Amino acid sequence: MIKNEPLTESYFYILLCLLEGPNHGYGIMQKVKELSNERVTIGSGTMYGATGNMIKKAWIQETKSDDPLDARKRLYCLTAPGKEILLAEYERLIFCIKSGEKIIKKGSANE
Amino acid sequence: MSKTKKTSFKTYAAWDYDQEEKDLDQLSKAGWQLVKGGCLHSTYKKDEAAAYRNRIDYNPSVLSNDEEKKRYLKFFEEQGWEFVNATFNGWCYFRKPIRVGTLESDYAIYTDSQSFDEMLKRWGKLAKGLNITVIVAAITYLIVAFAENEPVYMIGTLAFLGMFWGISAGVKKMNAKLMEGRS
Repeated sequence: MIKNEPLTESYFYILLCLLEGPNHGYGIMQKVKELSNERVTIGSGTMYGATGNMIKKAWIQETKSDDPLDARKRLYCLTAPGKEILLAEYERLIFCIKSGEKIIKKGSANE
Repeated sequence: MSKTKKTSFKTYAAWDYDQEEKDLDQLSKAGWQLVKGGCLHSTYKKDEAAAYRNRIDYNPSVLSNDEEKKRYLKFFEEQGWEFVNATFNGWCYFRKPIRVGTLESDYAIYTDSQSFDEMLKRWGKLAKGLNITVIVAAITYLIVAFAENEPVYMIGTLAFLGMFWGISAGVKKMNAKLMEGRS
């Protein structure tokens, strides 16, 4: 894989949610909405595809819950490589913002 | 006595699946709720009290009985989608009761172009397999026509070439949906 290849928004937000601990599909979806002030939503089909691909890449994995109330739910958790990918993307985004500021802020100062 | 069940033989080409979704929503509004969607016929039940948004997805893993099928259906169930049924070749029908205050965009099952593209590609594999079969059939008829010196068999060749042309045009239509979604 090419290093620091941009993640899609769905991938980024799913990984971000899982950094706080294992979660199920609905929990991830709700949290993404909340984190993004309702800007990002992840539909069922998109969630299925994104998690399936990230399981294949070993960025996330399925896990069992300790809570008997959650036993029926399918939980997903972040793996060490997944965490690395997420943090690399975070760095890349910061870098993009800094590049943007050099041009965009300079542009608005001249207005 | 008014009818409480009906069967429709209206068929849709795979690349018109989004039109089928719209028609199902219209039927639901008129009180006809989908019981079983299919490639050749669909059945409906009269229920004026209900109203659903219907969505159709393509995922052949639903045809198996393994963990991947459960994983797939779970994501829909979690977001309030009821699994209606799947066709023999992997099209899945889902429905969700319409709730006041829900944005129309919240009924989308694909919310980014990458996952939508992957769904279209899953279907693309099916179309490719079908096209190979059709071409093999067309060639077989051609060989038979020459071997038997019976030009009438060429009708079979032409019919299968026509099918090949139709499916290829459909694949193009399907791929164009991705570009529509992006614009």
